[in-house]
Amino acid sequence: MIKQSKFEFLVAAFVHDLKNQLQSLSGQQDLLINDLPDEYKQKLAPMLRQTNQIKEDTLRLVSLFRLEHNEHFAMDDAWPKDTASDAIESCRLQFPDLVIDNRINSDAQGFYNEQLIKLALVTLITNSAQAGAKQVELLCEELNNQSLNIIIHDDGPGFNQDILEGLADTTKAEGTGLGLSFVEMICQAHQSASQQGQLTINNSKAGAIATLYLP
Amino acid sequence: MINLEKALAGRRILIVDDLVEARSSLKKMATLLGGGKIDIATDGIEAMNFIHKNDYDIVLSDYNLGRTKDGQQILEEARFTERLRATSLFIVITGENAIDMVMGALEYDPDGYITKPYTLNMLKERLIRIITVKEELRLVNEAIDLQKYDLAIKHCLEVLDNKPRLRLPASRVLGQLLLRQKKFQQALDVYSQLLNDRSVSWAKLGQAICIYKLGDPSSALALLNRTLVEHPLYVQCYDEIAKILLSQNKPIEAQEALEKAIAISPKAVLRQMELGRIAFENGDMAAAEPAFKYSIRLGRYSCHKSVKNYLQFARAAQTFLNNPKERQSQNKASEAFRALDELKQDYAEDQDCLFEASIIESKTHLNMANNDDAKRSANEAEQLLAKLESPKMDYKLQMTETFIDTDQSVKAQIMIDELKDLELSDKQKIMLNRLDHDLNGEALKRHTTSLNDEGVGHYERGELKEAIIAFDQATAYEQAGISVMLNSIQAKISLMERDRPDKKMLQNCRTLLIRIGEITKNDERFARYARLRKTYDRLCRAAAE
Repeated sequence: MIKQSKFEFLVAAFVHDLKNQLQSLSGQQDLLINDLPDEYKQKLAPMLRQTNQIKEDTLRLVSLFRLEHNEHFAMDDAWPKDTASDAIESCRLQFPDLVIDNRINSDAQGFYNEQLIKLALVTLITNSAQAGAKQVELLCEELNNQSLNIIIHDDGPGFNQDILEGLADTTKAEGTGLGLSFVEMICQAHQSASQQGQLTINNSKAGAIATLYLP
Repeated sequence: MINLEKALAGRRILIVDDLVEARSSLKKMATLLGGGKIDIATDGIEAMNFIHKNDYDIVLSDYNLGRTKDGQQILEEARFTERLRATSLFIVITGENAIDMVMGALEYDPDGYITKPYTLNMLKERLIRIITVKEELRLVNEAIDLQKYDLAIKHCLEVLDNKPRLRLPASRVLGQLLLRQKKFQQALDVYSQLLNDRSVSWAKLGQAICIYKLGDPSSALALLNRTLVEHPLYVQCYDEIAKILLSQNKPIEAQEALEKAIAISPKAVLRQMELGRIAFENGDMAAAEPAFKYSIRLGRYSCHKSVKNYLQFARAAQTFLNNPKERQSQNKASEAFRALDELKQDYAEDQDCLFEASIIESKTHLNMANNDDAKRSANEAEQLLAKLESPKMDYKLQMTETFIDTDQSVKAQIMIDELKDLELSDKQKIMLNRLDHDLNGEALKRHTTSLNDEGVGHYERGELKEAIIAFDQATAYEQAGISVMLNSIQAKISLMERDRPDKKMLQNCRTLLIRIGEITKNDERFARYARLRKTYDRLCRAAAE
């Protein structure tokens, strides 16, 4: 287990608190916007989007902290189609113009922590949108004994060669570079008796492909 | 997959959410999806009222319901009271903060979770998924509802053979059924086989319970502690640890385990009650008192409301009534009286309960130095005891103690004499001996007081020799107080002043002065003591001449 300094502990507690406050703030904004006439809704939408973005970021930070400290994430039966629907719902507010196609088979079933995988999918869809993709599709391949691949395929410019070769984490000027590492950590937190989850990235003719392998 | 509209048609649904917008939006969505009879509850208490009144097929409850019970607790109470069939669905709705959610009890697992925010389509997909799984386990759950547990086990095994995708939910139910039927080895096999492929905390907990039941508490403890390292919020592990430690005669450690669980999940009434019970046995009233207080509060509107919580809270509170003049003691006494009043009101027909409440009420008055009220409560208890058809021995012992405490020695003596002829347990015999001893101490005090009064009477009439005899008898008891000894000295000095100094009598005075020891200047008896001491010194000098 990683030794935690007082500062780290304070930061973790602060971010945790921040996440809860943002959750509440975002809920209140949602309610407020529903009560407003359409013209005001349009004006307030960016504010809601930004709050949502910060909330997603803090949720990511909390999860990252817990992943780094090997904290427990309960695994259970889960259905990728539903998880993907949740992720798409979270992203729709942020990227209203992005076309996201959930092409996962309803019967596909896995054993994973749904909250983490949802965060991973949100992160990857966000990456695609920020890289300039107009369309994202989500697919799933069931492998033997309930292990599976969840695939995110976009029509953007694809991953930079440095990223594909592991030399860099991001090409975005304002990016933290933590997105892909975070998704990779999430995959690796999923383990079976003999295998560990993993993230693989590559480019297709028409965009980037990220594959989450969950044993 | 099932047809949701058909599946929801004619089903009775309960929606529980404390936020008005959330529940009206969910009701709207459920109606659009085909739900017909829908009731709405705004908190855990209202939800339980609905569940007690109606038979629900589906309950959709938010996890976080503010200050009252949470969704998991509603589920546990609904299943515990058998007001929710095994075939009924209980779905917990969680916020994105579900990451912090505390795991519920092994045997009370929701049928599914839905994460907020959700759209109509997402809700539809989730419901289809959850209801489909439930349908596949229908035969199992129907057998459970009919209490045909062996049949349920048979169906579970069939599901495991034929539907590998249902391995997790089927193993979970099967493990619980086998535990219920005390088939621990078979249950252990189910959990262990599952854990070979899937690391699920509930299977580890189930495995630990089986290992303990099969006679290996040390391995069970080690497994539970390992599970807690991986999953610190899995509080039911602490409950099992406490059970095992108690069986190993380690009550202090058991209490510590429960305290850890309560620090994580304070709303569980059964856990609070168990902590109170163990802490009380351990004599740790600082821990017992708040645990019973919580138990009263949490149990007030639940199936776990219990007379014991009220009585034990008031008993534990006695420890804090040290000084009747201090606000802290006064507040605590008020809390104890309030709990006892509530108890008397809510259990007005329960004579046993009323008797015990009156006994504790008397003790509380006594600790607050309200002797008259203490006596009044004691007499109420006496009347209630007389009405009981076959009162417990412990009640008679409690009554005896209260008689002694409220200076009703004759009644206490009658009770003791009666108890001496009855068959008592060893613990009760020890208690009776202690009471007998206390009562004799009381009698002695009364006897000394009466001898002193007799001496004072003689003294006032100038019958100094008779006064000295009475005071000598009184001071012969080591319990004699300072005033009695000063009286004795005064009678002797007065006699010697009237007649002449007497060496034997002076020696006697000296012994009494030594027994009295130092009296400080602040003591109201100091002036009298100093005066007698001066006269004594003068008489000593006169005797020496």
